[in-house]
Amino acid sequence: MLKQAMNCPNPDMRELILKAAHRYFDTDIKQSAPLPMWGLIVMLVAFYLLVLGTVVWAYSKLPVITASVVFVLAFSILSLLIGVVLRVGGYISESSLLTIWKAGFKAVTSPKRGAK
Amino acid sequence: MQFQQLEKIKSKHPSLSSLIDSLANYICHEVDEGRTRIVPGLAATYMKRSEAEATALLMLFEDAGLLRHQFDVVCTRNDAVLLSFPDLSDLQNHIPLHCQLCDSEHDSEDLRVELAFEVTSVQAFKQHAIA
Repeated sequence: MLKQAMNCPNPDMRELILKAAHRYFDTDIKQSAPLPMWGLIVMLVAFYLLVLGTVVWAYSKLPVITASVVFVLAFSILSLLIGVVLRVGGYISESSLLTIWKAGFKAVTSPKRGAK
Repeated sequence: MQFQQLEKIKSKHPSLSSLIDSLANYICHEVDEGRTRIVPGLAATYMKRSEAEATALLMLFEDAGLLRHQFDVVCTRNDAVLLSFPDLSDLQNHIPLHCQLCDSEHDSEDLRVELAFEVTSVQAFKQHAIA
């Protein structure tokens, strides 16, 4: 529906389609200036290197248990940043981002339920 | 007779005036045939427009109090409407859902949800058709 809205030449109709998509399908508005693919890749690689550097630093300077906590936190932040970049780029909706995080949180906090 | 709600919608969206008339004609036709459930996909086909555009226009009719949206839960095996909800969040409380035609319990894999609109003001559309 959002794709059809973007292709609609009538601005009045475009606005209405976006409003209807939000009302009936809980879809939010795509960013008006999507991030280009090369920008997205550069940002993701930069974040990944930053997190990887943090992990290497943690295991070389900190005790193993503390470094493991840093490792888990670093990758959690990395996954959040990836989600946010995809959201800012207009590739996923806000509700998709929240749903992915909610599902991930449930999977981590309820391992028994996931095992079923 | 003047269809006041329709005129209000058209005055708010003058660039969509012809499409609003086209949709009103479609709804009048459906009401004349005794059908009060309006499906966006079928309305889009009648208007030769996209389903997104039809849904957006139907939303305007709902805002004017002429239609009311609902989410129909449909059995994918026989296309029967099993339940209707105004809000999708109610759906989870009713799954699995019993289908009398299949005589079995369906989970979400055997069901699909369709947006539809129910005509709330049948008389208004009948009068519009006469006019």
